[in-house]
Formats: sequence, structure tokens, C-alpha cells
Amino acid sequence: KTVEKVTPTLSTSKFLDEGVLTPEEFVQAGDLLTHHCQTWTWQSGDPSRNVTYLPKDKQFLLTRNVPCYSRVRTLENDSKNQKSEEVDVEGDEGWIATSSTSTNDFIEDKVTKDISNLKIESKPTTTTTTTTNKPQQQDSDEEDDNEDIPDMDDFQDDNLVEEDDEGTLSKNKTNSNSQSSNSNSKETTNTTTTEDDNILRTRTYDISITYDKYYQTPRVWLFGYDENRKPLKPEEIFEDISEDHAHKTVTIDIHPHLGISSAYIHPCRHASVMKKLVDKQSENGKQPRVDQYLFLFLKFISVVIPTIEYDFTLEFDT
Amino acid sequence: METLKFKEFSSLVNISFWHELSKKKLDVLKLSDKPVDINAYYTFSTSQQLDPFLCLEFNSFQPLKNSNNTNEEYYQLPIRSYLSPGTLYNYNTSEDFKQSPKAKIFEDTSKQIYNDITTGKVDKDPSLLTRFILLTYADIKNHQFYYLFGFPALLPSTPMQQSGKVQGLSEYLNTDQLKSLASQLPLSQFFLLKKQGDGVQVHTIDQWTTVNGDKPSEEEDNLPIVGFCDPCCLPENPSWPLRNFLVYLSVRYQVKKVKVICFRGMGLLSSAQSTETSSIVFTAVLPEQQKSDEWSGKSVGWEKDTNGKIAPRYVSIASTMDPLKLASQSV
Repeated sequence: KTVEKVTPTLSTSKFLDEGVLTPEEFVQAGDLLTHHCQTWTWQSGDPSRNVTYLPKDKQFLLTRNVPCYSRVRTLENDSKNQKSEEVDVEGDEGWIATSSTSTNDFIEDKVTKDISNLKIESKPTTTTTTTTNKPQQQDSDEEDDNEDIPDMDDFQDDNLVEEDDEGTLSKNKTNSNSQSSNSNSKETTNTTTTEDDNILRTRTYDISITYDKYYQTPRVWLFGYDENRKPLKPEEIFEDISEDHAHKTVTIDIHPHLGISSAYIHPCRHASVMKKLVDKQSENGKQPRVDQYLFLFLKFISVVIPTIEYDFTLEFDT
Repeated sequence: METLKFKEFSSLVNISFWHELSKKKLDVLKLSDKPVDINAYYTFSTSQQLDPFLCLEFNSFQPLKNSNNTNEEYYQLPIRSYLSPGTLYNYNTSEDFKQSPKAKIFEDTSKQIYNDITTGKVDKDPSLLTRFILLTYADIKNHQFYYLFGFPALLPSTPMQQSGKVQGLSEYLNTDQLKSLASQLPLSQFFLLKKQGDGVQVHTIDQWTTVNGDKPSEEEDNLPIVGFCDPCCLPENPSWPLRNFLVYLSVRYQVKKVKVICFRGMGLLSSAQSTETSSIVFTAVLPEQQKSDEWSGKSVGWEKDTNGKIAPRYVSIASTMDPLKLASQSV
């Protein structure tokens, strides 16, 4: 944080040269994202945590309640079984809602190749006051597990009963075909049915993107809920992060605009990956557009969190 | 004819809400256990596997803009979301929480909803149909919270029915009418709709008589059309907010039969499953409602636990809050 304070705000565009963003460009890119993907919204967050280099009402981007139908290990098992490249397999299974334009395909390929680069050496190269959270959570999580979970029966009010109500959809009363007709099979993997109302419940994530002044890139934060809408513990969140990245690239810190401790994907390699993607776009004769930065960025982030189905589709050919 | 079945709300409490409640408890509420106004919202669902969520966040304690406050921090709804006004009953001890007059609170809230219907308050502020209650015991020292939600739905004397088949919105409206509807977005929480040739007209619910006259038709092809923004996307069922809206129509306008559009957002996701196709339309048949000064009927809507039992839930936010734990995490 100290380093962040003394780092001057980036004022000239270095998007093409270094894959980084100025705050203004972050706002442009966020505007395009929220325009095309209505599930993403600009947020102002806690006013006392506002940063001056971003507009008050555009402090960070947020998408809420994003479904996460299965754990990463099920994908990784699948890909091992089929003995082919991780991302290709996932792509075939349709976990990314890709439009099959050639541009998107190329990005996919590119991202695939970049996966190896994405593995972060455990020490980032620059001085890092902001980046010292190593996967230490393991230990403290174990403590969490030992927490006394109170006996909820103590809180049960036996006088509180409700009449059976025909109009409430639950408890085995639904028409059983409603599920099968509309959900496709991959969505049913590894989710749990907790009640008999035919709804398979799934984990959900709130994903936010903040501007990281030090790295001059976006930074992705994850906050998860389990099938019963209880906040996920850090080690549970790691189940939704691809094995290659879980304990290397994802750490816990206080969200800069919400003041809540959450998991984030470490941004120290973001710029160089973005630079590569941008170069590739140029080579293919496309003019890289800084306002499309976040689409490209979210595409590559989806390699890190492949089962969290957030929206980031843009027809790149437009 | 089939009994109409409504998908219940599920509470989704962001951890920031519990942080805020702790602060409020320490700085403002202290030992008071008087009810506190809070606000929540719901929005369209993007997946059949997501329950219709009623969401509370850090700003749930902020007052509504129109409630004569000069405070500039008022409650702001996220985009494409709808307001649900609630009341928080926070108790000081687990015993108080357990002993709290839950049934009475629930009944009183139901009466209030009914009262808002008969006095016409709902005409101007339809969100009053979606009132909820939240009972909590905040064990602040240990960062633990116990809570129970209620989403009261007034029950008519006999269950509401659905006649005929459920249609998709794109079957019910032709392409031009859909376009016309799309041009009138965003829609309000509850609304009226009139087909006019190749267009549609959306109206606020207080326009009922202007739009449908004093004696609306009961013929299938000429029924009055109402709609609501539906936070679920099940193929056959509407979700909870419709219940009190239908009661409103039958109490206030003696409606017996009505076309209902469960609007699920248009083009919400730019990718694969656009929810455009998930909006549904059906005919609801409402039992006659004896008009009385006070609600004397039944109501349902306590949130159930995972076993289908009405029971409080528990959440610990220690791992996101306790300074010692945070310190050990950020070494």
C-alpha cells in the first residue's frame, strides 16, 4: 500500500507497448464492458475508500451471483482422461460461451499457449509491499474449521410452524420434466440438490475488478457462496481456481473498495500476458482497441477460474 | 386447471451486510431492539440453477431517497434490480431471539401488506407488496450471526389456479410487439400491458381502470394483461413477488382472470443463454376475495433451512473480520 501511495498515476497510454492501462483507459474499457455485458456494473463502493484517480461512481466493476456449477478438479480429471490440452478440452465442453469467430479461436489458442507462462514464480520481480500474501491461509483456515459451530437446535422455535401451502413450489410437488428439458447435462455435474424442488443448487461468485495503481492493470477479486449461500472459506475458493494457479496466483487481502477480506488473482503477470495478446492481435491484422481491454483480459482470466461462468463475450470482429 | 405454484425467495446476505450490522449495533442501535427499516433488492436470474435471490448488502441500512431525508447517503438499487422494503428485528441475546414473537410479527406484516393494498398505497408504491422481515441475533464479539427471514405472501381462501398452457413470451407477442416492448425497457417491478396492433403499451399499475375499464373482459383472448419482473427463470413457474400482486388485483379490482407475463429480462447476457426466451405467459384464475377492513386470512413465507424446516441460519464472518486472523492471513 505504501508503494501504491508513492507510485505516480500512469498518465500516458502504454497499452500497446506494455499491456497496461491508465485509469482513464480502465474507465473506457469498463464502460464498454458494462455496455455489452449487462451483468457487469460500475460500483462506487465504500465512499471512505474512494480513490481520486477514478470517477466517484466508477470505482470498480462488479458482477454478482455468477454461477459456478462444478469444481475445477472435475474439469482437470476430464482433461487428463482425454489426454489432450486443458483448455481445448474445456472449450469443447462448452464451459466458455464462446462465439466461434476466428478471432476468438485465436485468442483461445493463444491463451492456451500462455498458460505455461502464467505460472508465476513465487517471487515477483519488483519490490512488493502489496504482494506478500503467500498461501499462508492454509493454516488459519484449519483454525476456522475448528470453530465451534453452535447447535442450531438451541435456536429452533418449536412454536413456529407454517401450514402446508399448495402454492409454494417445493418438496416434491413440481412437474418433474421441468428440469430435464432445459438444463444441459454438463450443468448438472457436481451440484447438489438440497431440497426436492428440482432445483440443483450451485455455488455463486461475486466477481469484482478494481484498478491496480501499482501494476497499472485490472485486478480480479472473488467472493464466493456455497450452495446454501454461506460465504466460502478461502480453501473452498481454491477449489474453483485451476490447479496451476490456486496457491501461486491467488491470495487473500482486503478489498480496496469494500473493506472485506477476499481472494484476488495476483496481477503481477497481467500486463505481460495482455501485451502478448495485444501483439498477437496486431500480427493478425486487427487493430487492438484499448476499450476492449477487459474482454481480452477476462478471456485470459477464465483460464484461471474456468468454472465460474461470468459474461465477457464481445464479437471482436465488429 | 392447475394450482399455481410460486418459487420462494432465497435470502442472499452479502458479508458486508453483517459488517454494517455490527457497526450499527455498536454505534447506533446499541441495546435497542426496536424494529429498523432496511432495504433489499432482487434482480433477474441468469440460470435455472440459481434461486430467486433477495439480496442484502452494506447499504441496506441506508434510507430510501424519497423518505424526506436530507442525508445524501440514500439506498441505491443496482441496475435492473427491484426494491424490497424490509424490517429488521435485532435481538440482544440468543434467548430474546428465540422467544421473539415471530408468528405475531409475521401476521402484523401480512396485515400491513393488506392495509397498503386497500388504502391504495400500493398503487403508487408497488414495492410494498414485497415487504420482508429479518430477525437477527448478532453475537458481535464472536462475529457470529443468527438470522431468520420471512417473505409474507397472503393466501386467498382457495389456491390460485392457472388455466391453459404456459407460453413463452415470444409465442405470446409477435416480433413487432416484442420490439415495441423492448423499446419501453426498463419495466417497473409490476406493470400493466395493452396490446395495440403491432405494438404494446406498458402502463403503471395505478392506471388499471384507464387501461382495463371498470369491468374487464373474462374472455381468454381479451383478458387484461399484467406483468412483473420475475427473479426466477423456471420454465413453468413464477416466483414469489407475483403472489401478493395477484392478491392485490383481486382485492383492489376484483379481478378473476388475468394474463400474467413473467418478465425475465431481455438480452441480459450477451453470451449463450439470453434470458429473452425465458419469459413466460399464462392465465391466472383468482378466487373471489371477501373485502374486509383487516387481513384475517393466512399467510406463508418463512425461509426454510436445507431440510425444509423453518429454522434460523447461522453465519460466522470471523475469517473476514477478526483483526488477529486477518493479520495472520496477510503475513
